[in-house]
Amino acid sequence: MKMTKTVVKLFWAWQDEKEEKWLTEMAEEGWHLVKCGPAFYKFTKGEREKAIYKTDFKPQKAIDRNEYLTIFKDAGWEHVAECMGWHYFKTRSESNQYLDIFSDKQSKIQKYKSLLSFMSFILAAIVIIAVTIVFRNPNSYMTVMKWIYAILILGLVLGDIKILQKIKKIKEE
Amino acid sequence: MTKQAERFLPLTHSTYLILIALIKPAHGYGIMQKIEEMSDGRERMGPGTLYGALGKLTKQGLIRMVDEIERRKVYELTDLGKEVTLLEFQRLKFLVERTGEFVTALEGLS
Repeated sequence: MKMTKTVVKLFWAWQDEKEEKWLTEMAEEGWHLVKCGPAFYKFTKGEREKAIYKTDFKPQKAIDRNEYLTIFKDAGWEHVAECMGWHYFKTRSESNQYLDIFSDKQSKIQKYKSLLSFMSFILAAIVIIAVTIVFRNPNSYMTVMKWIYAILILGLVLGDIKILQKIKKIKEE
Repeated sequence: MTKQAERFLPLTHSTYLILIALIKPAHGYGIMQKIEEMSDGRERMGPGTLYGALGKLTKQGLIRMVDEIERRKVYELTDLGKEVTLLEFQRLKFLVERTGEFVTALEGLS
């Protein structure tokens, strides 16, 4: 019976590089990612490995799953987990000299553009509900909802700004 | 036809390499290997980059899927794709030939 552990940890959408580094550190200690979820990660214990993790954001409808996974597999990247549009790939740094799934700026930016458009879509939906229903309702029991919606909107706007900054940074590299 | 092809120029580095690699039909990994071979190992195409590019080129009508072997899609250039590849090659060749004589003045510096 393999030892497993679940870690509760939250990385914001624009902290993907931080998340990737953390997964690499876990692998160095023998903990290998097998499942992911909103703010949690499940690992199994194995040998210590020098592994590189890279994530891609591809909402389900945007991909031809078989072809997508096969191209990565052929290039030496194992698909270890997937959740909410995020795909986690892992490669061993000793056997694969290519340490990123993207080899040019354009495709790197495209990942963040997909994320940006997904988040903006959700932001628009939430704003519509907020303006037409939530903030229109004068009842006191709605106060909590109003705060929740306000925080969600601020959070998403912040997220969009952070991602735009990331895209800008890559363009300027 | 040529006017339509010209609108795709100039191609990005990666795009041009993929089109060249597809002069002979190939699947994803075959394309990556071909590019590595062509560049003596100096160029490599990441899987994320390749997947995105293949989708875009298919949408643009420059390549198409012709077969599927063992769950791997095989792609080939369309007539438009062939024309674009040729035009880009000619553009690059022209550029190098025309600027070559001026660059020789710089070659002594490095």
